[in-house]
Amino acid sequence: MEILLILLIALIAITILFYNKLVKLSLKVKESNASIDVMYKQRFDTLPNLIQAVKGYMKHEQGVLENVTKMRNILATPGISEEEKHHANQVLSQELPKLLAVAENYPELQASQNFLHLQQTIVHLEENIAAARRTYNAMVNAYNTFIKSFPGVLFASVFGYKESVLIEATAEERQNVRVEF
Amino acid sequence: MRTNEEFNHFYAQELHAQTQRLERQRDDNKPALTKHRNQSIIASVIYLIIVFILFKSSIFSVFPLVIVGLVAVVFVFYFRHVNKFQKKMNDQIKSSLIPDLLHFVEPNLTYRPSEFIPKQDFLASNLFAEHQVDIYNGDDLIGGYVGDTNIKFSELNVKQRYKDSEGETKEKTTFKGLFFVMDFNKSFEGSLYALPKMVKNNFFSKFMGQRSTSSGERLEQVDLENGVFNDTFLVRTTDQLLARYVLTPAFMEALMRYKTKSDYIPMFSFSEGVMYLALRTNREHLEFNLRKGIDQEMVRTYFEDINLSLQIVEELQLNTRLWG
Repeated sequence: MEILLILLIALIAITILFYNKLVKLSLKVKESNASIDVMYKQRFDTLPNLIQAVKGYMKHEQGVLENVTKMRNILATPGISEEEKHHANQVLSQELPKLLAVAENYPELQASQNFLHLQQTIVHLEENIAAARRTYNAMVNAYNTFIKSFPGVLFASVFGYKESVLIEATAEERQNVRVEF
Repeated sequence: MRTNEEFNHFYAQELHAQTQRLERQRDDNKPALTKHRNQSIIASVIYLIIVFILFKSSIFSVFPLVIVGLVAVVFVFYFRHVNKFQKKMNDQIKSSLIPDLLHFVEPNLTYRPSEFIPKQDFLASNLFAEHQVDIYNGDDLIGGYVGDTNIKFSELNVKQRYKDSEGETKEKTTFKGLFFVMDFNKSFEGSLYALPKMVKNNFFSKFMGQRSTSSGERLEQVDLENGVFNDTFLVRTTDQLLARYVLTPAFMEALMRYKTKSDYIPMFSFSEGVMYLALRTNREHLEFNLRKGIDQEMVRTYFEDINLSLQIVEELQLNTRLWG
């Protein structure tokens, strides 16, 4: 009887331990995902000012600017799906460094304090977004490894924890966001 | 940053005459040093004869004192003169040759031979937080701007005192090598520390290094995507996102390249926008050895030391300013 009691207590303790670990890992995934959203939102808010600042100058490179504007409009659409949101943000991460690079061809633009400030803000945000995505992937990896390996797999299935999806890094994210001033 | 070819050219044009003059001075002093050496041998023999006559029967009981006396005789008759001459030569090299060389490598830097990185910078790095700093000295402080980056570095020799099993106070070297304090090109709050992993096994590495900042903030271990980097460094931070903001894939590769070039595994930390980097070289830098000739090869070792130090700024692209 005593042995059974000890085993039961041990089982409850182990369950609590693993459940807490599951909660902690999944919370970290959620937190890191929320950080990305916060940064996306900051970028989304900065874009109108950037578009306004450069559109008067860029006569020949309308393609990049149009793409950025289009993606922002998609993100502003109510009821947009997570997939569409993700795609639009990926495209923005690819297009914004191009837009800033093109801006270098315009000395008047480079002389504008407003533009320089926006440029710095965007570079800072892009670097933070890249870091946040890498952090998210690291958290997802830790979480997925835990729920796929024994005995985590047992507890994950009992408590209904499912595998999380990694964010694929863009080519720009594999490099430093580098803009020469 | 200068190439070897540029150095050879500069040496031939600007430093050759100076090193020849110093080498002549060293040569001219050789007979005097030989005379002092011979005097010290004669004095030692006379001293030992006197000691033997005076303490013939109890020579073994006073043996430690005899040795101390012998060392004193050799010092007075020989090493005192060697040290004096070595210091004189060192002062000349450090007051003219090294500043000229430094000006050639990077004109914006200044050289202060007797100064070194302040103790508060060393402590602020938190890289040696587990060690008590009892003896702190160094020399050869170089500082100034490399492009837009404010950098200072010097040789440091830091020791800790401890009591051995017999209660005797002894000294242990905590750090001996080059220590750098540099502006970092990104603005951030929080701290990050990276120490070389003594063991690649992650289980044991968990117990290495500090687990909190000097202000008591908890540090957590970071596993980064670069496997080689992960095997080489144990990274701890106050914020996982900050760690990845600072240690971008390109930055990690640059650090690994610098490690390969310098042959030393750097220890580094970031705190409030400043990067601290320690290279445990365990040797003296920019020093003159009386036994070796003053020639192009000696100056080349100085050049390589300075060049390697400044390579950090270039390799890590610390000059890429994001904040004007």
